[in-house]
Amino acid sequence: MISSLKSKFSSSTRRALLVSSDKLAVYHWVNNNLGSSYLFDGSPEGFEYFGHYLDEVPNDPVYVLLDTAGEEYRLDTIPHVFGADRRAIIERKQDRMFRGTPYLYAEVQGREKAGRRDDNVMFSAVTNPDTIQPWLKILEEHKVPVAGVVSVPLLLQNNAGVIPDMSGNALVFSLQSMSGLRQSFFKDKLLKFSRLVKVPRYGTEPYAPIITDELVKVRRYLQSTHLLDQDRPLDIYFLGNKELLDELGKTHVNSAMVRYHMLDVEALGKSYGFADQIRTPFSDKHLVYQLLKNKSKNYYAPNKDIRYFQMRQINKALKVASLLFMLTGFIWGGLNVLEGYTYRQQHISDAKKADFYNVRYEVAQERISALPVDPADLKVVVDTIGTLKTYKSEPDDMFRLISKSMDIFPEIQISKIHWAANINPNHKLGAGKLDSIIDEGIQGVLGFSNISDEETGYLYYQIALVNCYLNKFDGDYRKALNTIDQFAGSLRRQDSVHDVSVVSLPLDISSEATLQGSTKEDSSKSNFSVRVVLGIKDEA
Amino acid sequence: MKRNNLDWSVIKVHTFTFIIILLVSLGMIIGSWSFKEDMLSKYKRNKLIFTSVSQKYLAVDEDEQIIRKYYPEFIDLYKKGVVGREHRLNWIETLRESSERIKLPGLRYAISPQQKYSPGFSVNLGKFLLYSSTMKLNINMLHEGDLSHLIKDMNEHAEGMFTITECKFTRSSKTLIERRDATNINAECELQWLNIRMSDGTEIKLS
Repeated sequence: MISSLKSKFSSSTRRALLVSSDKLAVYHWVNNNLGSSYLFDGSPEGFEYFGHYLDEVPNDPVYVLLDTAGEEYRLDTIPHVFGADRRAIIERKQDRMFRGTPYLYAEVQGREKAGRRDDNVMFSAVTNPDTIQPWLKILEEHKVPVAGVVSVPLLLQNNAGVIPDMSGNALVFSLQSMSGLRQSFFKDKLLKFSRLVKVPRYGTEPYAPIITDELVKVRRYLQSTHLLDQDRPLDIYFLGNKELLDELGKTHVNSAMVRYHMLDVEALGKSYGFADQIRTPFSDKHLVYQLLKNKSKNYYAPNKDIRYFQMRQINKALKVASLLFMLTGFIWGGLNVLEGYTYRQQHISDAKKADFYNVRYEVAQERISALPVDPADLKVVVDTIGTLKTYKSEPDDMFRLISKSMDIFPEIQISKIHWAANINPNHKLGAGKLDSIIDEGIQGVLGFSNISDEETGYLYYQIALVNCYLNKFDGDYRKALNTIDQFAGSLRRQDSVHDVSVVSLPLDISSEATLQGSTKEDSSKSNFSVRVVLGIKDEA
Repeated sequence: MKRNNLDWSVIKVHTFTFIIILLVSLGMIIGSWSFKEDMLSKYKRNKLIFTSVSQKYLAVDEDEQIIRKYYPEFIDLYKKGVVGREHRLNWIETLRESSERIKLPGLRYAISPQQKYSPGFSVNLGKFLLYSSTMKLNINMLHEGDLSHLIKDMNEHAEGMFTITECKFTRSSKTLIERRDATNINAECELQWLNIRMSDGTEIKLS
């Protein structure tokens, strides 16, 4: 039997299957909210219709929410080990506790406070797999990607949105239309115990008295099993519609150790934007909404049951990888092509420019090859001549210098001038006696000086050895020596005169010389020599 | 996920699509990379050629600037015999003409064979060598100004470049003779006629 079956199924992105022991409801997730729903009986007819349904709708992933009495929970301890050892111990325990079902789950819930401090583990299993396996088989036949299987108590534990602000000792009552009254106990938000009780068909009997009876039973059970923490108050959460909650509110009053929380499923639905009104006390849609919204992880389904979902994930990964490779190919390839075209433009441009310069180079080269020497050598020749011109020497400067002093001393007559140009101010003029005197640097002669090799700033020197005599010499040597000294001084004072040396006198009065003569000397004994060194500067 | 759990029919389309896209993408990347590398290689080659040619052209351009600046002077030096062959005949002719112009009482000359010349100061000669021909002049002068006139005249008219390295002036007599053809001073001067030639002996010729 199918309830609310439509000829045209609305499209969705994912679906939820709420499975009870004898029914299955399908909920579609459309536009980020719950869409249409379909109900199937757990009968051959229902399985067939379910198959037809799957044929007609897109192959969206399915989240299975199980709410059946055939689910068991056990609390146990295992040694505090990790990795493969822990897995092996848990698997061994599961084998012992729940035989013949592949739908197993175990969760470590902290450690014992005393003793060996073993791990506390909550083991759960769908002990009656026949309630779910026929549906899963049909899903597999239709290659429907099953994302996972979770039960209502595990959903309550792992989705904070189902019971907001759950306290340390929490007992949750929820009614599911297909399965009945679910009672789940959570200690520090960890599932410790859950049970499902069948309730009469909706509308035939009031649910409040049934819930009240069940509350008494479950509290008694919790106290007997010491699951309830006596130090803290027990918070009891009722999920239902306003009518049911009002009725429950009349009989359940808060006390020091018991607090009641009335959670209106319609109000909860509105708080997260659920469009449909929920008029019944059932929490089906509220639970399914949380399941689909949070895409609850798989708890019970073995790999075989979720393989199509895994393959869907592989397909998604392949799609993303394909897209990325395609984009990479386009972008990288495009950039390479762009870069390549840029280089192409540049190399064409460079080739044209190279041709342009090559033509001009060859023309210029032809002109240059007609020259008698290389262009660089032209410069060498011209520069060399320029240098030689700066050193070009003529005796005019020296003549002017001597003439100037001669004008001052008309009694002095020149008999001979030996002139030379040289870069060495001590340059030897000929090979006479006077030059050897200069070379030896003999001192003690009036006005004589030896010229040092220090830097003077002159480009070269004009050197003149001037042989003179005194006209009308009267034998007064003192006067003659004085005149010669003044003559040498006048030469020395002129511009650019580097050195003036009197190298011979009419009378040698130095202590080293042999001095002899007559008091009646004639003017031929008035000969003397002056060596003049004139510095020439670079006028450029 | 175990291989046994794989349903090939579910993933084959996406797997093949992925493989095809992977191959196409790799093809695009490799093809475009190859194109880029080819263009880059051509670009580098042409850039190198362009750089080489442009550098040569710039060097030639620089040479042309040198030619524009120095070649006219070089030609002038060549024509004056400072570069290439020296013009000895011109020197003699100039000496005679100058002597007549100045009306020197007497002038004798002697030119020695050309020899390598070291000026005594630093000069960059490059591929060239400096030569000089020593010219000895014996001049009879009325007064010392005659030598200045002679040098000035030769500087103006002689084809070549000379420098005077040494001179000896001797007074002929103590009394000054004022006749035009009289010799009061005798000068002996040594001139160096400078000449630049290629160091390897190649003769410099202008076409």
